[in-house]
Amino acid sequence: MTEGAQVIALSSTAAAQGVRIGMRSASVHGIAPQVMLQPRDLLREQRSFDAVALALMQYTPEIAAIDHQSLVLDVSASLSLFGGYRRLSRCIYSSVQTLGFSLALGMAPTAQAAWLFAQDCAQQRKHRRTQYQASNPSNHQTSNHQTSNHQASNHRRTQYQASNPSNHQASTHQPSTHHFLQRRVIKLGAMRRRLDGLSFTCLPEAVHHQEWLEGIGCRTLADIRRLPRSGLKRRTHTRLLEALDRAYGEAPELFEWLQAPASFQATIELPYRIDQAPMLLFAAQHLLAQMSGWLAARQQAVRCFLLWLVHEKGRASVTPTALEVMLSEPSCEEAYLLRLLKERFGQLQLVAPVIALRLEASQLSAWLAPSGQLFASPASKVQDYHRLLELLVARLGADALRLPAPCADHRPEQANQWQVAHQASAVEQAEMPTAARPFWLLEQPLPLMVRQHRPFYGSSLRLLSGPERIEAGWWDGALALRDYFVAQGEEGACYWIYRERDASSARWFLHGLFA
Amino acid sequence: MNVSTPTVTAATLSPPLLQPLSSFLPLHAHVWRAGQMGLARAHVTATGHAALDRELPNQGWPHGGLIELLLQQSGIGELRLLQPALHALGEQRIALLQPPHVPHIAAWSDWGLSPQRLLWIRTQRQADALWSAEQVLRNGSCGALLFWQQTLRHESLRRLQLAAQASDTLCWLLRPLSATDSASPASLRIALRPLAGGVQLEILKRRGPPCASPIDVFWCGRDAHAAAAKHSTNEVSDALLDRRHPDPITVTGPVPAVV
Repeated sequence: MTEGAQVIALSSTAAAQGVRIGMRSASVHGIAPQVMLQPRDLLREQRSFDAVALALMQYTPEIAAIDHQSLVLDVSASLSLFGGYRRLSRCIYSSVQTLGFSLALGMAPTAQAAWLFAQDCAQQRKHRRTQYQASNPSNHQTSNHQTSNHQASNHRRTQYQASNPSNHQASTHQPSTHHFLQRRVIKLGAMRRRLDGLSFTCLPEAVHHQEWLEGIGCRTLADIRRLPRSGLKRRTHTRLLEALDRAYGEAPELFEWLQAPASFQATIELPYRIDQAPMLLFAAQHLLAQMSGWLAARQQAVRCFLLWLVHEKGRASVTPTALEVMLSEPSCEEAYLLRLLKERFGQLQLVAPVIALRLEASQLSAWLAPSGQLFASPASKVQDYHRLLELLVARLGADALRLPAPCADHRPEQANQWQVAHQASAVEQAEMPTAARPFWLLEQPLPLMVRQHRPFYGSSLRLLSGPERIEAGWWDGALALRDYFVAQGEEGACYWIYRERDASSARWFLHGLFA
Repeated sequence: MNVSTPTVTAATLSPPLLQPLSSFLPLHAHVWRAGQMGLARAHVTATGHAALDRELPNQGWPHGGLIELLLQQSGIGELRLLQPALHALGEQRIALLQPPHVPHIAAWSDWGLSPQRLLWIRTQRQADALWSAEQVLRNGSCGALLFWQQTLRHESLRRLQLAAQASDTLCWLLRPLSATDSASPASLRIALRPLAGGVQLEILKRRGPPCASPIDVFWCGRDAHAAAAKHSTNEVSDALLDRRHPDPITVTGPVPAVV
């Protein structure tokens, strides 16, 4: 990636070919002609940053941007919900990785300290990377914090930084987990001790006076704090002291929390043209991660969402394909929505290669928190059942699932109505005839041969009971004049047969099998 | 004839060795002797037919295992046979996957079962049908799955059996009688043949000794006594494996209870 014809970030493969940060683009072409140079796109960076912020809203509603690279999250209220700070960090980490970015994470009782830890993490990683000659994308730092209560024990702040957007191979240069774990401090005292050891270069306010500070023998934040305050204030800037006070928890911190937009719409541009639907799943996952963050922030669940597959524009433009996913029960679970989409993609035939995806939440309803129970309750079974129906519909199509919708009619083929599961409505209990009915009904009555004046199906049939006369349907043109009998074959199986009354030659039909 | 080697007589043996093998070899619940019924899976639903219950391990249709019913043709009373079990499932849903004909709602409600419990799944391809069966079993919200299939590869059967084992749903696979000859991983296989006023069952495979003679199940209790009388006159063979009535069970290991 270049900015002003200079390399500012690169992948590990590029680094292996000798490309370094700060090289001119002409020299890159000279030493590694196959390396692709991309100019930095601030708009895309901003968009990616917004996407990360939106996706993280599922962990806390209190999220603020410190600069264009960092977010702070106040997670004091989320710690027990997500099962402790380790698990929460892991969740945040994997959410950001799903979106294709890497991040540096710090956690501390104050936001400024959390941000400093994350900054330190990013700096060390940068340092390591230059040692290993790996890449270093320009960073999006994000720090998280919280302020809701001011008791020191519960007052925790978290911070992380997400690194650059244009690069979707976050895993190639992820930090070792070991390093990422060290930057989480819960207690105020421990946080101060850790801060004391940090290099002052983490603090942007101090970097302006780096030469002077190094000249008087300062290396860490503790060294700076040991200097007389008044002199430091006169020689540097008030902001340096303020930042230090905020970090050590001696001055209050104020943030403007980000607000989730009123409606959700997210777009992702694909790096390549994709002409096979299942390959779109990866990109759709990015969009769903954002949507679940947005849904959590707005306390909503989605009932219906639209996924637009944008095709080639220009001369050979094709109108975007809309994929509508309708849920029987509103849901906000990312994994479940992804599973539904996976089945839909499995059935989808693309009309043209896809270059972008757009996701819209079209129907929403208020999210109801599930009530946790020790034992499986009937309600959870009903919910599971709805999910099963949806999953089956997603793969087999709406036509494949049928639910009974009996209709009050004497003609069996009319009474035996099955409706499509997806438009299932409350069916009124139709009154059923009390006479014996077979369990299997043939879709088309089968004409039977007559041998020795007896209907014949496999063997000569013996009439057991009947006739049951059904005469109905004169009003809708499907007149049925039939005498039904229960007949038995020689081997013992029972059949439901009828004889037409209107025809001069009495014809026999097989209409059902007694299962 | 004088034998120089020391002879071992019963008197020289220590008392425990004289006892039958079973008394000092505790058996795990998943292991059973050839003449006994395997009782490892305790969760069953009674079939509602006493004659059939007697011949099944744990006296009922096993949950968590594939049950194969091999039919001479559809419409010989196969659902009538399952009806008491379906009734016993309460209000749980029943999935009908790939039934051979249109299920008749009137017959269903005639048996005293709520039609709203039925779910009819029709698929175009066999792969879809197998996938659906797996999903229904994995989901667990349906009490029973009835799956009609003509031909199935052995791998698919195996997969189905594994899916059934992992779930608590009753899973019946209904196949034509011609599948009798091919091997199957199902834990219970029963062949069904029509009979006047009932159905004749032949247990081809069960977790226990082979079932020597077919069982006649009659509807409405008619001829039930006649059938029982017929059974009692059956020859009891001396061979361990040919015994009609299984040995009494002596399980010393823990029998898993159903939670």
